[in-house]
Amino acid sequence: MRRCGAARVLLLLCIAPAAWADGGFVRASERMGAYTVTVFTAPTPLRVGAADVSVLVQQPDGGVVLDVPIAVTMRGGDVVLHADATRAQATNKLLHAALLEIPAPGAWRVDVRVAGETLTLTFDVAAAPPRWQTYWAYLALPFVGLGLFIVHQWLLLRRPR
Amino acid sequence: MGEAALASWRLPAWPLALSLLSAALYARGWRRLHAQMPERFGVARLAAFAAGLAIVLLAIASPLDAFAALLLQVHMLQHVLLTMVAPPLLWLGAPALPLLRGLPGGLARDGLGPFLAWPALRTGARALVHPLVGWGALVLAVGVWHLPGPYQLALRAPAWHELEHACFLVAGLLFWFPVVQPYPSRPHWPRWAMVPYLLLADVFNTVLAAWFVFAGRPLYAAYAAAPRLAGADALVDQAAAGALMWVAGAAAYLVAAGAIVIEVLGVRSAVASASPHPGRLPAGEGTRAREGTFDLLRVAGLGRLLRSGRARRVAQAGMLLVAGAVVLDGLLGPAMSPMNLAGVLPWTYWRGAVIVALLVVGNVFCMVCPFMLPRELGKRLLGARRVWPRRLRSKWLALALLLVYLWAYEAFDLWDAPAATAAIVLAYIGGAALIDGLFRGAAFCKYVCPIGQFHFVQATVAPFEIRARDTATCRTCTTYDCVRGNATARGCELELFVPEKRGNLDCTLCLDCVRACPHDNVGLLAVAPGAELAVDPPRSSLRRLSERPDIAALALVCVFAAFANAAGMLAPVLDGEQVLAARFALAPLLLTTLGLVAALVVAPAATAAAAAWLGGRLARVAAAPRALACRFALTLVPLGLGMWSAHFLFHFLIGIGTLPPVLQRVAVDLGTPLLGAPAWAGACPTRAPEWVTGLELLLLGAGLLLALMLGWRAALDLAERRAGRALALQAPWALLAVGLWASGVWIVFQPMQMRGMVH
Repeated sequence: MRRCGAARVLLLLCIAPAAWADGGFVRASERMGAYTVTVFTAPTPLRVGAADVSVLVQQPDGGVVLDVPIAVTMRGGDVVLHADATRAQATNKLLHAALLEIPAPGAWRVDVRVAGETLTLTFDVAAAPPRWQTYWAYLALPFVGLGLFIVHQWLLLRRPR
Repeated sequence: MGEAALASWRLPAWPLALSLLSAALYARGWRRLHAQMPERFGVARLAAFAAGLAIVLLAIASPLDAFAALLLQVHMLQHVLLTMVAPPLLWLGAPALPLLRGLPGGLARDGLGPFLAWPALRTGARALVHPLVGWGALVLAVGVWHLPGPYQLALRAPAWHELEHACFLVAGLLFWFPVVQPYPSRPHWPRWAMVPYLLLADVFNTVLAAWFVFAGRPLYAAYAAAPRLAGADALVDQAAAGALMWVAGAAAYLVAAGAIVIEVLGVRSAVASASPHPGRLPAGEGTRAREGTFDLLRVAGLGRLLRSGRARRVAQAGMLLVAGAVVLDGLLGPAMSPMNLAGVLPWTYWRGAVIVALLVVGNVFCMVCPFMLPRELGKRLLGARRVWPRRLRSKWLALALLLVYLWAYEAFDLWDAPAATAAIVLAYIGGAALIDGLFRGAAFCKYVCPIGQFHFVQATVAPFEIRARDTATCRTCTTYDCVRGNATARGCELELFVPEKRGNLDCTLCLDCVRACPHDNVGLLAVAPGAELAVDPPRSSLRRLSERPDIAALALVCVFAAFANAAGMLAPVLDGEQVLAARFALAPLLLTTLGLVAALVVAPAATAAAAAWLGGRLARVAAAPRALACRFALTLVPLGLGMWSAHFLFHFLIGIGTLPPVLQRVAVDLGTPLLGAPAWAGACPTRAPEWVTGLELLLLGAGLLLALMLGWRAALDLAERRAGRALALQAPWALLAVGLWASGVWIVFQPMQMRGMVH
């Protein structure tokens, strides 16, 4: 890794909390061999459950490189997760996305391997939220409908017969 | 890169579904209005509304959305489309009347009618479309969301991003309403006042756009940090976004202002003719006009196919062949359920397909029943001369058999026992042939078949029903062919007389009555799901349902079994069983039996008795507790169907890839290498996507809502429309329904154990 690349990573990591793409934060952007590699993660913050690690590979002139073999490995305690990042799994087809199922909260180390070079990052993963928080709108729906029905019936009943 | 960008589509389920539904309703309503008022509802209106919906989808589902987080100018284009392009197009479609006319007549009249006539709502809606509100909403939404804090929040969190877009669309709709003034609304202000209204909006837009263009520094840290695509600098990107806002805003506001000036000056223009002056509805026109009820048998092609006796025979023969394949593979194939047709076809595919058919049409299971042909063979061989015993003319026998079936399912893990599954199918074929061979009519279907009874009960909530198209025609009929039959077609074997038939109970959708009616007066008509459960008229061949405890018991068992059957798959329930077995030294079979007796007999009987007694006491109504229990038990059916649907569709959706490898295995076993070697990876567990859980909760929630609505209508009926008493009468049943729903939510949120199933 060249010095200027490391400086850029540090700079980006300082302002990264504000950056987001393809459903995630910009976690790092680094020169790796012939490429500049930017790594995004989603959701924000990372939680136990499904996680998306997306990678953008660019040439030095900013042009996007497609279909590079990219491997993502996550290590937390004794658990090792591995997935290939592909364009098929990405919403934004300029990115390569790997979908991983994070089983436990805590610190996780992520290795992103692109064209023989490895970029290592460390994430803190929070505990999963209760499921009702994810699906609260679905749970509320029958009661919203019930509220409308109550108004409907009230309007009908107050009509003179 | 261009190809990759164009491929970056994302189709969000909810907005897509809502857009398609709106488009379908609008098109249906527009077609009717176009026939009546071709000048007012011309093709331009249809095109404008369709274009508006397409623009909304383009903004939120196209590559624009995927690239909005990387390029500010792309994000700005999204905002422009949502605030300045889609809203005026949608209003140019004058959507109020077409959407109302597109709804089923009963829903528009009885469902929306009271709301539309509600003075408070009309006043509120009129205030909402006041120009001051519209102008303020747009300025507030655009101004606040472009501040760095809210903007970056939206970039970080998808939920806030979606809220931001919803705000823009709603604010845009409110802003453009007084500008377009869609028919048949009336304006608050004189028409000329829209000119300064638009010019002031343009001034605000220009100031905001200039801020982007001349800021001299990146306004949003997210774009400063984002990788630069094709070398576009963050400042250049920001300036381009500002220019886009500037030009698009000026074009939209100034063109609209110019069109209004021309309109006010009395010069006809294309814009003016597309947004006519509002007026009142012409006489005879409106939302209360009765619409013809949708009849599935009158749909071109499909209706003919459904009416065809030959097509029905072919479908039944096909199902019989499938049943034969299940029997053969179950008895001769591998004992592993995921590798056997008897493990995959009945328990994953058939249950899921049947439940979809129930929700979309009705009791299709009975329509294509594979046991019909063995029944008829039995009749030919044995003569069918006996009359079904009078004391067995109820649902009690079928209910007992249904309980045995549910017990066997749990006790012997039928889903994981191909040979036992095959034995059940064989027993069914033999039973149907023997009983209907000995007895006249459809005794097996009406009094014995437990699966048929299950479908009869669920079909009470189906959206279609066999009914007379015109009851006046039935009053003049003297031959009653629909129930008696004639030389060309047989009448209803289940003794349902069409003019007096109410609801789908006991209807096998055989369509014999349709073919027999000499007046072509029987249709498969759209009905409000479950509406017949809220009333208690005398029903052909069934009497009043309040006098039928057997049917109420059947309904209650079907409801409680939905929850018990799904809970039987869950880790906490299985763990609890093991703890109980160890603690009380009970054999697993005995424990399962006791658990099912508690869940399917004791719990339904006890809760129904308690709710009926308590409701009756609280409301002080004249009806006996037994009659109350009979009425209210049926109103819980939608909740049960919601749980069954959630459960079966879960298996169906995540196990949809399980059949191909089994078919490959069968082909190999038959010595045919045509399908290749079994790809067993396809039969491996698939993780349920998030939307499957959402769908399960939706089905369950819809079941609860319908159950509560039907319960209320039944309570009003029993309490002679006295709201206080009706509330007291329904309260215990509502508590029971909410309790069952809550247990269903808990079940949906648990990881399924899938004992023996690979999915």
